[in-house]
Amino acid sequence: MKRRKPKLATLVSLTGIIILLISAFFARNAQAADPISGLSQGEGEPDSPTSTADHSKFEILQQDFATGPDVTAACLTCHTEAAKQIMETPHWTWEYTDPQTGEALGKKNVINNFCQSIESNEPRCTSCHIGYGWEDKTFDFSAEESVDCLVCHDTTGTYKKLPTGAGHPVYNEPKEFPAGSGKYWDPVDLTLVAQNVGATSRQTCGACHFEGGGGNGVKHGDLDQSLVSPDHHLDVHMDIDGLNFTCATCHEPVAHAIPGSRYQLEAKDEDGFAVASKGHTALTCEDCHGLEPHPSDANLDHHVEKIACQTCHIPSYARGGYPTKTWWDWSTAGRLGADGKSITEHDEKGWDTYISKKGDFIWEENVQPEYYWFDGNIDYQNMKPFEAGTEVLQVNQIHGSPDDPGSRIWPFKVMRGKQPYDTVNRTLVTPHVYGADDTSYWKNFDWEKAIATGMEYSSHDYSGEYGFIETEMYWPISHMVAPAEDALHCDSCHRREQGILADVEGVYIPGITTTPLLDQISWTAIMLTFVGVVIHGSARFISSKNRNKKEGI
Amino acid sequence: MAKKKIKIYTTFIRFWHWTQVFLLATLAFTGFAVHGTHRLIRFDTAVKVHNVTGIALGLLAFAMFFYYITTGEWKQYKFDKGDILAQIKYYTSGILKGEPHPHQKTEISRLNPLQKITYLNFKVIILPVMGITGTMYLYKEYLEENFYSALGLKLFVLNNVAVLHTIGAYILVAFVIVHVYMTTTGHSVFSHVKTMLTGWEEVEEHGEG
Repeated sequence: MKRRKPKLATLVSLTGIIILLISAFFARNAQAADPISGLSQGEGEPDSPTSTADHSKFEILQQDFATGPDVTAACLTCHTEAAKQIMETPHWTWEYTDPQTGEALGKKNVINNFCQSIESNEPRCTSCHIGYGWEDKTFDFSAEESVDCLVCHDTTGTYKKLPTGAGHPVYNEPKEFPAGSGKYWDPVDLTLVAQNVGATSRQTCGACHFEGGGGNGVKHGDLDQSLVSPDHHLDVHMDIDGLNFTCATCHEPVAHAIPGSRYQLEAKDEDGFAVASKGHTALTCEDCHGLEPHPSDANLDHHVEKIACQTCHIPSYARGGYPTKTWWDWSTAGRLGADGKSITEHDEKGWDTYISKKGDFIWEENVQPEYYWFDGNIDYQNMKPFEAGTEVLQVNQIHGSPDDPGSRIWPFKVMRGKQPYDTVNRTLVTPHVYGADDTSYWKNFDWEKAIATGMEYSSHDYSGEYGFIETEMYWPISHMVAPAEDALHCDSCHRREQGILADVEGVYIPGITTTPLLDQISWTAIMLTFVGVVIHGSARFISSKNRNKKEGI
Repeated sequence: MAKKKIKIYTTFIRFWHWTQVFLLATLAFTGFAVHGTHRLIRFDTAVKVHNVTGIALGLLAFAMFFYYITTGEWKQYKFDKGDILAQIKYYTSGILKGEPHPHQKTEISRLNPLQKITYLNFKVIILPVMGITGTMYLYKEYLEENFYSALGLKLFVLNNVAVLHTIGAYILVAFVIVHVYMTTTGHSVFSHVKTMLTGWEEVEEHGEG
């Protein structure tokens, strides 16, 4: 009997393993065959066996839901604290208070040089809010059932917020969007979605974060739909055939609070490896890779002190086949077709280069970032007056310097364009762009009205005079991390011609930093030495010849 | 006039000299690549080769100093001032008139006064400065962390160190040009080079000898 026991155990474990393998095989196949759930589910996601709950078995989810808030109400019966947690986060508030200046920042308050401002344009912008019904200033930020659970936890890929729905998806009947386009959005099957909730995925995060600025890849450049199923070269961590990270692998939430915001950016992690007991989740490169991440080259490790990992390891952005917008000129908006209707122009690649509602665009792919010293602090211009004579206004200003040990050289996407401003008060403006009323720019193509309405809505002084000013906005680049073999090479920077750090000041970079005076003086001296030697040698040669002649040899 | 052959350069001196030729040439080529003067090799290759070669030269220099001190060879560098003028006069006019060399090489005194000054400068100024700045450059992060910041020094930031190191390099280039040219001033164009290779020098025998 004693000898039998281990045999039985072996048999049981072997059977277990075989069953696991078989079920894993079928699970994979089932995913691949199922067009809905098979899109990009990685490890730890809904269908994986790690979940301890099958939501289709919950009675409260076995009903026909009329609206999103109805689903939320059902979710909250079990997940009692979920909405409260969400309400603490910028995903809900769209607000962030700058700890240094006390200034109110966040999506709600910041003016950018894409769509400019949210105020008075809510229904369009808040289609990416983690809630339902933020149509205007009166939105109740304390209503728990207004939290949208599904937009993040959908695993079916069928849940989509209507771009103009203030956060709601389509209910009951198909809706046309864009208006007059003939494209209809189908109503969402809320019961199906609710019964299939699971962990967040690249798709759910990407539904908003890949689409910022009004479309795929527009805003960030390092975030677009190509990251739903990236290969090894596009993102070494998210590679679907490799590590297959989701967004949450790095942006690991704690009680629905998700670390990693541009508003509180860690430009230099001096702690190295993240230790779970510190209450610190992995987010920076150093959290996993430590402070000496190049095992074979101490010289490269020294770079960590002054160069952000992203600088070398994200050699270019918008690498996934989708372009990003790098120029948006609102000043040319309003040019209509012969029929008085809005027009759209495309370039040879099919990218829209002009839209009557928005103006001119430039799109770029495989863009090399611009590099600046950065300490993690970003100031925003917002409604503060700027100096007279400002030619190019920075709508946000990055801080950092070569003398500051907390600064490193970071890669940036710099978004440029032109946008309206108040020429008398010299402030940016919050134009009323979206809306089916008689002042919105997209309906009436009249900046006078649009700016006046928007400024009144946002409670800011407006002189009544507007013009257009060129603006810049700085976006630190952190995604689309290339594998080591695609990273920048030493020669990418350490070269005089076209070295990518040629414009970075305040630090001696061997191979780039020239010492023109020293070089000139030295080479002159060396040339003179050479000339002197040649003259002396010639004199010796001639005089010895003469002597030989005299001596008759 | 009778001539005799004397051994001017010992095996070690010759080994040291020609190894140094090789190392300095490598250092110059890779160093000017790091400086950005040329791009004939990759930057990282240049850095790696330069570092290794620099350390090798440092070791060689230690061996050289050890040799000079322990064998008493350093006495080769004792000189008196009067000889310098004679040497300068020889190089500026005497050599053109076919006058004899004012300095007679012997086993005890193989260097003429100008050589003494130049080589002494090379050994006790240029080489140590290059060695020290090179080391400071190589260990910049360590030094910055442990010394400069503690001392509040901004003086030794890489910029200054690199500039000093570069100045040294330029001086060495000029030195090598003159040095190579001077090898042609022997009995024949290549006799000095030959001596440096074999160690043997043909000198005129003096009456007393």
